[in-house]
Amino acid sequence: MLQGAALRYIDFAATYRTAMDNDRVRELLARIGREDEAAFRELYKAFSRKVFAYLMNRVSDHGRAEEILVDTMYEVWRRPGGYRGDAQFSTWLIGIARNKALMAYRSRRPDETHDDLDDIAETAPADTPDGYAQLAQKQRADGVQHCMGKLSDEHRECLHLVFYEGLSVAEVADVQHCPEGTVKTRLFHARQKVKKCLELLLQREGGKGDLKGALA
Amino acid sequence: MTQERFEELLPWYVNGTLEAEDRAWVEQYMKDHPEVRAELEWFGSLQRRMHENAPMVPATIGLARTMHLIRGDRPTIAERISAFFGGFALRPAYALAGVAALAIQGGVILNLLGDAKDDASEIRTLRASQVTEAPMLKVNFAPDAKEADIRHLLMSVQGSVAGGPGQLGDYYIRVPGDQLDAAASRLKADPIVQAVAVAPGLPPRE
Repeated sequence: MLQGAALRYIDFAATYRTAMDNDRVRELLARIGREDEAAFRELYKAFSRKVFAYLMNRVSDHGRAEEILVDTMYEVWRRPGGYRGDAQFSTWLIGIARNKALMAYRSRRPDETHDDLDDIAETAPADTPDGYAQLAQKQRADGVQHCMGKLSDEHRECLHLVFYEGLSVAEVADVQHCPEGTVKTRLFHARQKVKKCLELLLQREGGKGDLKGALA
Repeated sequence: MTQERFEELLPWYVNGTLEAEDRAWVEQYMKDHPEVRAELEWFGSLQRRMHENAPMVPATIGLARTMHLIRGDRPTIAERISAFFGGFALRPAYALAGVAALAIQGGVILNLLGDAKDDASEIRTLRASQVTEAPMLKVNFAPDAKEADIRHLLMSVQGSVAGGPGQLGDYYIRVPGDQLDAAASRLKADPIVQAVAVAPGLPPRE
Protein backbone atom coordinates (compact mmCIF):
# COMPACT_ATOMS: atom_id res chain seq x y z
CA MET A 1 0.00 0.00 0.00
CA LEU A 2 1.33 3.42 -0.92
CA GLN A 3 1.99 5.92 1.82
CA GLY A 4 3.23 9.42 2.26
CA ALA A 5 2.84 11.67 -0.77
CA ALA A 6 0.24 9.54 -2.53
CA LEU A 7 -2.01 9.27 0.50
CA ARG A 8 -1.75 13.01 1.06
CA TYR A 9 -3.30 13.64 -2.35
CA ILE A 10 -6.14 11.24 -1.78
CA ASP A 11 -6.99 12.84 1.59
CA PHE A 12 -6.88 16.30 0.01
CA ALA A 13 -9.24 15.19 -2.76
CA ALA A 14 -11.70 13.71 -0.28
CA THR A 15 -11.97 16.80 1.87
CA TYR A 16 -12.96 19.21 -0.86
CA ARG A 17 -15.18 16.83 -2.82
CA THR A 18 -18.24 17.01 -0.50
CA ALA A 19 -19.73 20.31 0.58
CA MET A 20 -22.81 18.62 2.13
CA ASP A 21 -23.81 14.97 2.15
CA ASN A 22 -26.57 13.89 -0.19
CA ASP A 23 -28.99 12.91 2.58
CA ARG A 24 -28.97 16.43 3.93
CA VAL A 25 -29.32 17.76 0.39
CA ARG A 26 -32.41 15.63 -0.22
CA GLU A 27 -33.91 16.76 3.04
CA LEU A 28 -33.41 20.41 2.13
CA LEU A 29 -34.76 19.91 -1.38
CA ALA A 30 -37.92 18.37 0.03
CA ARG A 31 -38.40 21.45 2.19
CA ILE A 32 -37.63 23.73 -0.74
CA GLY A 33 -40.43 21.95 -2.58
CA ARG A 34 -42.68 23.30 0.17
CA GLU A 35 -41.26 26.80 -0.40
CA ASP A 36 -39.09 26.74 2.71
CA GLU A 37 -36.79 29.75 2.24
CA ALA A 38 -34.58 28.84 5.20
CA ALA A 39 -33.84 25.46 3.61
CA PHE A 40 -33.03 27.17 0.34
CA ARG A 41 -30.66 29.59 2.03
CA GLU A 42 -28.83 26.75 3.72
CA LEU A 43 -28.45 24.84 0.46
CA TYR A 44 -27.44 27.99 -1.35
CA LYS A 45 -24.65 28.82 1.08
CA ALA A 46 -23.36 25.25 0.98
CA PHE A 47 -22.88 25.22 -2.79
CA SER A 48 -22.64 28.78 -4.06
CA ARG A 49 -18.85 29.05 -3.87
CA LYS A 50 -18.37 25.81 -5.73
CA VAL A 51 -20.71 26.82 -8.54
CA PHE A 52 -19.23 30.31 -8.64
CA ALA A 53 -15.71 28.90 -8.95
CA TYR A 54 -16.85 26.74 -11.85
CA LEU A 55 -18.49 29.73 -13.54
CA MET A 56 -15.45 31.95 -13.08
CA ASN A 57 -13.43 29.24 -14.77
CA ARG A 58 -16.01 29.26 -17.54
CA VAL A 59 -16.75 32.95 -18.17
CA SER A 60 -13.85 34.72 -16.40
CA ASP A 61 -16.03 37.65 -15.39
CA HIS A 62 -17.26 38.22 -11.83
CA GLY A 63 -20.51 39.94 -12.81
CA ARG A 64 -21.46 37.36 -15.41
CA ALA A 65 -20.54 34.48 -13.13
CA GLU A 66 -22.74 35.89 -10.38
CA GLU A 67 -25.62 36.42 -12.80
CA ILE A 68 -25.47 32.81 -13.96
CA LEU A 69 -25.09 31.61 -10.37
CA VAL A 70 -28.33 33.41 -9.49
CA ASP A 71 -29.98 31.85 -12.53
CA THR A 72 -28.76 28.41 -11.55
CA MET A 73 -29.81 28.54 -7.93
CA TYR A 74 -33.18 30.02 -8.88
CA GLU A 75 -33.65 26.93 -11.02
CA VAL A 76 -33.14 24.82 -7.89
CA TRP A 77 -35.88 26.81 -6.17
CA ARG A 78 -38.24 26.37 -9.11
CA ARG A 79 -37.56 22.68 -9.70
CA PRO A 80 -36.11 20.97 -6.61
CA GLY A 81 -37.54 17.71 -7.88
CA GLY A 82 -35.25 17.92 -10.90
CA TYR A 83 -32.47 16.34 -8.86
CA ARG A 84 -33.02 12.61 -8.90
CA GLY A 85 -30.08 11.61 -6.72
CA ASP A 86 -28.27 9.50 -9.28
CA ALA A 87 -25.19 11.74 -9.13
CA GLN A 88 -23.59 14.09 -6.66
CA PHE A 89 -25.77 17.15 -6.16
CA SER A 90 -22.86 19.44 -6.97
CA THR A 91 -22.40 17.64 -10.29
CA TRP A 92 -26.08 18.18 -11.11
CA LEU A 93 -25.77 21.85 -10.16
CA ILE A 94 -22.71 22.29 -12.32
CA GLY A 95 -24.60 20.73 -15.21
CA ILE A 96 -27.30 23.39 -14.86
CA ALA A 97 -24.74 26.16 -14.54
CA ARG A 98 -22.94 24.89 -17.60
CA ASN A 99 -26.08 24.94 -19.73
CA LYS A 100 -26.96 28.43 -18.59
CA ALA A 101 -23.44 29.65 -19.31
CA LEU A 102 -23.58 28.12 -22.76
CA MET A 103 -26.94 29.71 -23.49
CA ALA A 104 -26.01 33.10 -22.19
CA TYR A 105 -22.57 33.61 -23.60
CA ARG A 106 -20.63 32.63 -26.66
CA SER A 107 -17.67 30.33 -26.24
CA ARG A 108 -14.24 31.81 -26.05
CA ARG A 109 -11.88 31.30 -28.90
CA PRO A 110 -10.19 27.90 -29.27
CA ASP A 111 -6.72 27.27 -27.94
CA GLU A 112 -4.28 29.92 -28.94
CA THR A 113 -1.45 28.72 -31.07
CA HIS A 114 1.71 28.74 -29.08
CA ASP A 115 4.16 28.87 -31.92
CA ASP A 116 6.92 29.69 -29.52
CA LEU A 117 6.37 26.45 -27.62
CA ASP A 118 8.04 24.52 -30.41
CA ASP A 119 11.14 26.65 -29.99
CA ILE A 120 11.74 25.52 -26.46
CA ALA A 121 11.88 21.83 -27.32
CA GLU A 122 15.65 21.66 -26.88
CA THR A 123 15.98 23.54 -23.66
CA ALA A 124 12.69 22.93 -21.88
CA PRO A 125 12.49 20.05 -19.45
CA ALA A 126 10.91 17.07 -21.22
CA ASP A 127 8.63 14.57 -19.55
CA THR A 128 11.44 13.56 -17.26
CA PRO A 129 11.42 13.21 -13.50
CA ASP A 130 13.68 16.25 -13.21
CA GLY A 131 11.41 18.26 -15.48
CA TYR A 132 8.31 17.42 -13.47
CA ALA A 133 10.11 18.06 -10.20
CA GLN A 134 11.23 21.49 -11.37
CA LEU A 135 7.72 22.45 -12.39
CA ALA A 136 6.19 21.10 -9.21
CA GLN A 137 8.55 23.22 -7.12
CA LYS A 138 8.40 26.40 -9.10
CA GLN A 139 4.93 26.74 -10.58
CA ARG A 140 2.72 29.17 -8.74
CA ALA A 141 -0.99 29.81 -8.69
CA ASP A 142 -0.77 32.82 -10.98
CA GLY A 143 1.33 30.91 -13.51
CA VAL A 144 -1.18 28.08 -13.53
CA GLN A 145 -4.03 30.56 -13.88
CA HIS A 146 -2.29 32.27 -16.77
CA CYS A 147 -1.78 28.98 -18.59
CA MET A 148 -5.29 27.71 -17.88
CA GLY A 149 -6.58 30.91 -19.42
CA LYS A 150 -4.98 29.98 -22.72
CA LEU A 151 -6.91 26.73 -23.05
CA SER A 152 -10.14 26.18 -24.93
CA ASP A 153 -13.34 26.11 -22.88
CA GLU A 154 -13.55 22.31 -23.04
CA HIS A 155 -9.94 21.72 -21.99
CA ARG A 156 -10.03 24.26 -19.19
CA GLU A 157 -13.35 22.92 -17.98
CA CYS A 158 -12.00 19.38 -18.03
CA LEU A 159 -9.03 20.33 -15.85
CA HIS A 160 -11.30 22.21 -13.47
CA LEU A 161 -13.74 19.34 -13.12
CA VAL A 162 -10.97 16.82 -12.45
CA PHE A 163 -8.62 18.77 -10.22
CA TYR A 164 -10.87 21.33 -8.57
CA GLU A 165 -14.20 19.53 -8.43
CA GLY A 166 -12.62 16.07 -8.03
CA LEU A 167 -15.02 14.36 -10.42
CA SER A 168 -14.52 10.85 -11.73
CA VAL A 169 -14.05 10.28 -15.45
CA ALA A 170 -17.69 9.15 -15.71
CA GLU A 171 -18.91 12.29 -13.96
CA VAL A 172 -16.84 14.54 -16.18
CA ALA A 173 -18.20 12.73 -19.23
CA ASP A 174 -21.71 13.30 -17.92
CA VAL A 175 -21.15 17.03 -17.41
CA GLN A 176 -19.41 17.53 -20.74
CA HIS A 177 -21.84 15.26 -22.64
CA CYS A 178 -19.10 13.24 -24.27
CA PRO A 179 -17.67 9.70 -24.07
CA GLU A 180 -15.20 8.84 -21.33
CA GLY A 181 -12.52 8.31 -23.95
CA THR A 182 -12.95 11.92 -25.07
CA VAL A 183 -12.56 13.09 -21.48
CA LYS A 184 -9.29 11.22 -21.16
CA THR A 185 -8.03 12.62 -24.44
CA ARG A 186 -9.04 16.14 -23.48
CA LEU A 187 -7.33 15.84 -20.13
CA PHE A 188 -4.19 14.52 -21.73
CA HIS A 189 -4.02 17.43 -24.19
CA ALA A 190 -5.02 19.99 -21.57
CA ARG A 191 -2.31 18.95 -19.17
CA GLN A 192 0.27 18.83 -21.98
CA LYS A 193 -0.62 22.39 -22.97
CA VAL A 194 -0.56 23.66 -19.41
CA LYS A 195 2.75 21.95 -18.83
CA LYS A 196 4.27 23.44 -21.99
CA CYS A 197 2.98 26.86 -21.08
CA LEU A 198 4.46 26.62 -17.58
CA GLU A 199 7.76 25.46 -18.98
CA LEU A 200 7.79 28.47 -21.27
CA LEU A 201 7.07 30.78 -18.35
CA LEU A 202 9.90 29.18 -16.40
CA GLN A 203 12.27 29.60 -19.30
CA ARG A 204 11.35 33.25 -19.76
CA GLU A 205 11.56 33.92 -16.07
CA GLY A 206 14.95 32.37 -15.93
CA GLY A 207 16.17 34.19 -19.06
CA LYS A 208 14.77 37.72 -19.18
CA GLY A 209 12.50 38.01 -16.19
CA ASP A 210 9.82 39.48 -18.47
CA LEU A 211 7.03 37.70 -16.64
CA LYS A 212 7.92 38.96 -13.21
CA GLY A 213 5.88 37.31 -10.57
CA ALA A 214 4.57 34.58 -12.84
CA LEU A 215 6.52 31.98 -10.98
CA ALA A 216 8.22 31.70 -7.64
CA MET B 1 1.21 0.33 -22.87
CA THR B 2 1.69 0.31 -19.09
CA GLN B 3 3.25 3.79 -19.12
CA GLU B 4 0.28 5.00 -21.14
CA ARG B 5 -2.15 3.34 -18.79
CA PHE B 6 -0.39 4.92 -15.83
CA GLU B 7 -0.59 8.39 -17.36
CA GLU B 8 -4.24 7.86 -18.22
CA LEU B 9 -5.15 6.82 -14.67
CA LEU B 10 -2.90 9.20 -12.74
CA PRO B 11 -5.16 12.30 -12.74
CA TRP B 12 -7.97 10.28 -11.21
CA TYR B 13 -5.63 8.69 -8.75
CA VAL B 14 -4.64 12.18 -7.66
CA ASN B 15 -8.25 13.34 -7.29
CA GLY B 16 -9.18 10.19 -5.38
CA THR B 17 -11.88 8.80 -7.68
CA LEU B 18 -10.25 5.68 -9.04
CA GLU B 19 -11.89 2.33 -8.39
CA ALA B 20 -10.02 0.10 -5.96
CA GLU B 21 -8.59 -2.17 -8.63
CA ASP B 22 -7.20 0.70 -10.71
CA ARG B 23 -5.89 2.43 -7.61
CA ALA B 24 -4.01 -0.69 -6.60
CA TRP B 25 -2.57 -0.97 -10.10
CA VAL B 26 -1.30 2.63 -10.02
CA GLU B 27 0.25 2.16 -6.61
CA GLN B 28 2.03 -0.98 -7.72
CA TYR B 29 3.27 0.77 -10.84
CA MET B 30 4.70 3.59 -8.76
CA LYS B 31 6.44 1.10 -6.50
CA ASP B 32 7.96 -0.55 -9.55
CA HIS B 33 8.87 2.77 -11.19
CA PRO B 34 9.78 5.23 -8.45
CA GLU B 35 10.85 7.80 -11.03
CA VAL B 36 7.19 8.50 -11.87
CA ARG B 37 6.62 9.99 -8.43
CA ALA B 38 7.78 13.29 -9.88
CA GLU B 39 4.77 13.26 -12.21
CA LEU B 40 2.52 12.50 -9.25
CA GLU B 41 4.03 15.46 -7.41
CA TRP B 42 3.42 17.70 -10.38
CA PHE B 43 -0.26 16.79 -10.56
CA GLY B 44 -0.58 17.34 -6.85
CA SER B 45 1.06 20.74 -7.19
CA LEU B 46 -1.27 21.63 -10.09
CA GLN B 47 -4.27 20.65 -8.01
CA ARG B 48 -3.13 22.79 -5.06
CA ARG B 49 -2.46 25.80 -7.29
CA MET B 50 -5.91 25.52 -8.81
CA HIS B 51 -7.42 25.61 -5.35
CA GLU B 52 -5.31 28.60 -4.47
CA ASN B 53 -6.86 30.31 -7.50
CA ALA B 54 -10.40 29.75 -6.25
CA PRO B 55 -12.25 33.07 -6.07
CA MET B 56 -12.54 34.40 -2.54
CA VAL B 57 -16.23 35.21 -2.30
CA PRO B 58 -18.72 34.88 0.53
CA ALA B 59 -21.17 32.01 0.49
CA THR B 60 -23.95 34.57 0.20
CA ILE B 61 -22.80 35.86 -3.18
CA GLY B 62 -25.87 36.49 -5.32
CA LEU B 63 -28.22 35.33 -2.55
CA ALA B 64 -30.05 38.64 -2.22
CA ARG B 65 -30.78 38.74 -5.95
CA THR B 66 -31.93 35.15 -5.90
CA MET B 67 -34.29 35.81 -3.00
CA HIS B 68 -35.65 38.81 -4.88
CA LEU B 69 -36.44 36.52 -7.82
CA ILE B 70 -38.02 33.97 -5.54
CA ARG B 71 -40.24 36.53 -3.90
CA GLY B 72 -41.32 37.53 -7.37
CA ASP B 73 -43.14 34.23 -7.50
CA ARG B 74 -45.58 35.50 -4.96
CA PRO B 75 -48.57 37.60 -6.15
CA THR B 76 -47.92 41.31 -6.23
CA ILE B 77 -50.53 44.02 -5.92
CA ALA B 78 -50.63 44.16 -9.71
CA GLU B 79 -51.34 40.47 -9.99
CA ARG B 80 -54.07 40.63 -7.37
CA ILE B 81 -55.70 43.51 -9.25
CA SER B 82 -55.27 41.53 -12.46
CA ALA B 83 -56.99 38.57 -10.90
CA PHE B 84 -59.87 40.84 -9.75
CA PHE B 85 -60.37 42.05 -13.31
CA GLY B 86 -60.10 38.53 -14.65
CA GLY B 87 -56.44 38.60 -15.64
CA PHE B 88 -56.65 41.83 -17.61
CA ALA B 89 -53.04 42.74 -17.06
CA LEU B 90 -51.75 39.79 -19.06
CA ARG B 91 -54.48 39.46 -21.67
CA PRO B 92 -55.71 41.66 -24.45
CA ALA B 93 -58.13 44.25 -23.19
CA TYR B 94 -60.72 43.51 -25.84
CA ALA B 95 -61.95 40.60 -23.71
CA LEU B 96 -63.15 42.93 -20.95
CA ALA B 97 -65.87 45.40 -21.85
CA GLY B 98 -65.63 47.36 -18.61
CA VAL B 99 -61.96 48.06 -18.99
CA ALA B 100 -62.50 48.92 -22.65
CA ALA B 101 -64.21 52.10 -21.47
CA LEU B 102 -60.99 53.18 -19.88
CA ALA B 103 -59.08 52.02 -22.92
CA ILE B 104 -60.89 54.63 -24.99
CA GLN B 105 -58.90 57.23 -23.11
CA GLY B 106 -55.64 55.40 -23.68
CA GLY B 107 -55.81 52.48 -21.33
CA VAL B 108 -54.60 51.91 -17.81
CA ILE B 109 -51.11 50.72 -17.14
CA LEU B 110 -50.33 48.70 -14.04
CA ASN B 111 -46.75 48.19 -13.00
CA LEU B 112 -45.56 44.68 -12.20
CA LEU B 113 -42.78 45.84 -9.94
CA GLY B 114 -44.57 46.54 -6.72
CA ASP B 115 -41.41 47.75 -5.01
CA ALA B 116 -39.94 49.67 -7.93
CA LYS B 117 -38.88 53.26 -7.59
CA ASP B 118 -39.60 56.40 -9.63
CA ASP B 119 -42.24 56.70 -12.30
CA ALA B 120 -42.39 52.97 -12.99
CA SER B 121 -44.54 52.54 -9.91
CA GLU B 122 -47.18 55.06 -10.96
CA ILE B 123 -50.20 54.54 -13.13
CA ARG B 124 -49.75 56.13 -16.52
CA THR B 125 -51.99 56.40 -19.50
CA LEU B 126 -50.78 55.08 -22.76
CA ARG B 127 -50.72 57.35 -25.75
CA ALA B 128 -49.24 56.55 -29.09
CA SER B 129 -48.17 60.01 -30.10
CA GLN B 130 -45.57 62.17 -28.45
CA VAL B 131 -42.55 60.49 -26.90
CA THR B 132 -40.17 61.96 -24.40
CA GLU B 133 -37.69 59.20 -23.53
CA ALA B 134 -34.93 57.14 -25.13
CA PRO B 135 -35.77 54.23 -27.43
CA MET B 136 -37.02 51.14 -25.65
CA LEU B 137 -38.62 47.83 -26.46
CA LYS B 138 -42.34 47.28 -26.76
CA VAL B 139 -42.99 43.70 -25.74
CA ASN B 140 -46.04 41.47 -25.77
CA PHE B 141 -45.88 38.45 -23.49
CA ALA B 142 -47.80 35.23 -23.91
CA PRO B 143 -51.16 35.25 -22.11
CA ASP B 144 -50.04 32.57 -19.66
CA ALA B 145 -46.64 34.13 -18.96
CA LYS B 146 -45.95 34.22 -15.23
CA GLU B 147 -44.63 37.31 -13.59
CA ALA B 148 -41.66 35.41 -12.16
CA ASP B 149 -40.69 34.25 -15.65
CA ILE B 150 -41.05 37.79 -16.97
CA ARG B 151 -38.86 39.15 -14.19
CA HIS B 152 -36.29 36.48 -14.78
CA LEU B 153 -36.23 37.17 -18.51
CA LEU B 154 -35.92 40.91 -17.99
CA MET B 155 -32.99 40.36 -15.63
CA SER B 156 -31.21 38.46 -18.33
CA VAL B 157 -31.32 41.49 -20.66
CA GLN B 158 -30.75 44.03 -17.86
CA GLY B 159 -34.23 45.31 -18.57
CA SER B 160 -36.77 47.04 -16.39
CA VAL B 161 -40.45 47.76 -16.95
CA ALA B 162 -41.01 51.39 -17.82
CA GLY B 163 -44.72 50.96 -18.43
CA GLY B 164 -47.42 48.47 -19.20
CA PRO B 165 -49.47 46.59 -19.83
CA GLY B 166 -51.50 48.72 -22.17
CA GLN B 167 -54.87 47.89 -23.60
CA LEU B 168 -53.31 45.42 -26.01
CA GLY B 169 -50.99 43.95 -23.41
CA ASP B 170 -47.98 46.03 -24.47
CA TYR B 171 -45.11 46.45 -22.02
CA TYR B 172 -42.41 49.07 -22.45
CA ILE B 173 -39.02 47.76 -21.40
CA ARG B 174 -35.93 49.88 -20.75
CA VAL B 175 -32.58 48.27 -21.60
CA PRO B 176 -29.06 49.72 -21.80
CA GLY B 177 -28.86 51.81 -24.96
CA ASP B 178 -26.03 49.91 -26.57
CA GLN B 179 -27.77 46.58 -26.04
CA LEU B 180 -31.11 47.35 -27.63
CA ASP B 181 -30.66 44.99 -30.58
CA ALA B 182 -29.14 42.20 -28.55
CA ALA B 183 -31.91 42.48 -25.95
CA ALA B 184 -34.57 42.43 -28.68
CA SER B 185 -33.08 39.25 -30.15
CA ARG B 186 -32.87 37.59 -26.75
CA LEU B 187 -36.47 38.47 -25.93
CA LYS B 188 -37.77 37.31 -29.32
CA ALA B 189 -36.12 33.94 -28.81
CA ASP B 190 -37.92 33.33 -25.51
CA PRO B 191 -41.14 31.28 -25.66
CA ILE B 192 -43.00 33.59 -23.26
CA VAL B 193 -42.61 36.53 -25.67
CA GLN B 194 -45.05 36.92 -28.53
CA ALA B 195 -43.77 40.11 -30.10
CA VAL B 196 -40.96 42.63 -29.72
CA ALA B 197 -40.57 45.98 -31.42
CA VAL B 198 -38.38 49.00 -30.87
CA ALA B 199 -40.44 51.93 -29.65
CA PRO B 200 -39.23 55.52 -29.84
CA GLY B 201 -40.00 55.95 -26.16
CA LEU B 202 -42.59 55.92 -23.46
CA PRO B 203 -45.47 58.34 -23.93
CA PRO B 204 -45.66 61.10 -21.33
CA ARG B 205 -48.14 60.85 -18.53
CA GLU B 206 -51.38 62.75 -18.88
